[in-house]
Amino acid sequence: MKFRYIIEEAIQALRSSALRSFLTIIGIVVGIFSVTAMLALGAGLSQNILGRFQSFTSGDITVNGSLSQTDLSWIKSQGYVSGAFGSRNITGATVIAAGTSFSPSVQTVLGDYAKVKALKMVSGTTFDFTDPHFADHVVLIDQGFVAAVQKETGQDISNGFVTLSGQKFTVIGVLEGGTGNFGRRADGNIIVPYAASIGVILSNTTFASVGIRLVDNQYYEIVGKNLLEALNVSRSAKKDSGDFFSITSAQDAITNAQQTISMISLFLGIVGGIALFVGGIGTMNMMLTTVTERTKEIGLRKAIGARDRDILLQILAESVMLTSIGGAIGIGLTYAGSFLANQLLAANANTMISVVMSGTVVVYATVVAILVGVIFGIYPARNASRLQPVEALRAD
Amino acid sequence: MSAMQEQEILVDLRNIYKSFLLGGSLVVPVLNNVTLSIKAGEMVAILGASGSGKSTLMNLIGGLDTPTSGDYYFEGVHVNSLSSNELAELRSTKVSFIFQSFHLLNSKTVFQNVMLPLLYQRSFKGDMRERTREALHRGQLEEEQWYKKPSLLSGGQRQRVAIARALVAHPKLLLADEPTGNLDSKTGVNVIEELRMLNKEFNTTIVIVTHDEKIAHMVDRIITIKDGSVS
Repeated sequence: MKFRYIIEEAIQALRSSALRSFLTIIGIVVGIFSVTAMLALGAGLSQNILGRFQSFTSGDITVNGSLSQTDLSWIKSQGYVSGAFGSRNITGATVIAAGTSFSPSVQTVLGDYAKVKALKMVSGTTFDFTDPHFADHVVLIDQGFVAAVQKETGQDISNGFVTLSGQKFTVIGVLEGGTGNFGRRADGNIIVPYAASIGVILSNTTFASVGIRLVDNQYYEIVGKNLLEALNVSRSAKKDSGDFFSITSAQDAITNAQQTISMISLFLGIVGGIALFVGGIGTMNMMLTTVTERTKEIGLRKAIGARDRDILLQILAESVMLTSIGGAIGIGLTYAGSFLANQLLAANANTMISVVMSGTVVVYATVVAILVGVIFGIYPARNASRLQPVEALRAD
Repeated sequence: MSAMQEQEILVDLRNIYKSFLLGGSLVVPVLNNVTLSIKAGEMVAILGASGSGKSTLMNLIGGLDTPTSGDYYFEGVHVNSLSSNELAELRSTKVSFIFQSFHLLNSKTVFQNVMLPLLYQRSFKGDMRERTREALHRGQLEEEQWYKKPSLLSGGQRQRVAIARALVAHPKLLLADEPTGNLDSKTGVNVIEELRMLNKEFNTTIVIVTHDEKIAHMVDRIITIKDGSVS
């Protein structure tokens, strides 16, 4: 039988038991919707978490330990380093803004901070991070701190000042970020010029870490190892002992996060897969019923010249058509659902969850829907094709 | 037997036995050493009481079933040794059935029912719709009935649809299993007369399986079957 007629026959058969077909399709819709929604959620999670990682890590690799300005200069002079900055968190400083006490993360930085972190300004201006003598009492704050002050006191601190351990610092600019970053304080971040902090709110002239942007991130492991060795040797430490310094890389953290995310995605996929399996069982059930009900019809078709293969393909076509229609509706629903979900989630800037529908998801879902039709349709179809015409015609 | 005469023989059954297995061990013999031949263009009745094996005989002739032993030749082709696909091909192009209970598909219109056998003909070339219209005319169905569902038709009309469906493939042999069984006697006689006309006009070989002697006497030749043997 020609393909066109197989399709026509399948449509006619499904229409003649419209309600049952509809109910079966619902099962597949739910299954495909679960699978695609879970895949989209996994993709969204991955995109978000990795995005956040890249924004809050200090460049490609970070050297931790007590580092001097000389160390920083030496690191910057390495050919494979495209930028580096030293930083130190100021702990124990009291922070007062608009007459209220806050506990943001306060940091002093020196070097290619803007370049390594790819900073974006929301308003105002910035100071020169690379100037070790810039000692004006100014600070940069981020949106997180602005929001925290706004929430607590109702005042806009963007053009105001903050008091750090009794010293008045003028706010000159607002940086993007600081809202909803996990692992950060809810009160946001404040950045103080290096020279302005020394002897004022910070008694230590060394950095606690140096963030490094590499020319080519591909070799971060080798570069990290070489840096570590050289720095440790400079402190007369034994080779490879790592006594004085340690290195962390954004890539390691990202790899870890990726592994976790793939586990979560796999789990979500399995949850969706169970729903789809149930839908597939529903399809098989319907096809088995159909074959039983239409035994006589199958007998007749054989009597008028249908071959086993014609019957097999016809039943299989009905099954695949059911799951394909279900799949198409399921994918459509996921699109609509993800659009709605993203609208709702976007309203809450602190969320890490979004739903990402990609072409790959659509292709996977379509293939899976067709496969489900074949897998759950093959058994009823084989049963039908193997019916003996004489016995089938006698069936009630 | 000359070559000319052999050409004319359409159905040739030789020493056919058929038995069924009941419950896996009980062998029920249905046909016992049946030998018969039917010439092209003949209109024959196979007359027998219910349980005599006449339906089984018809299924064998039509290639719906295979004998337990013996040889069956259709147009000189050894039907026993055909594969299931080749049997389907035989049913698709050379042999057509008319059933007592019509076996029309109620999900399809009359027109679609009649066209259905053509969909399974892999070798069919030409206009299926044109051929279907021709068959409907030969089956003497008024055009206003063509696009109705069979369930809306009377018994006589339904049997005419079944006849049209059997004719659509231009078969050599038309097998009718109790074609009048579900019809009143007047309609039944009309159907047989219609078959007779088709036999005369298109030289279609027709085999009618019946238990009704009155019907049987409207044909060229009667083959009587009793307890699985013919006489």
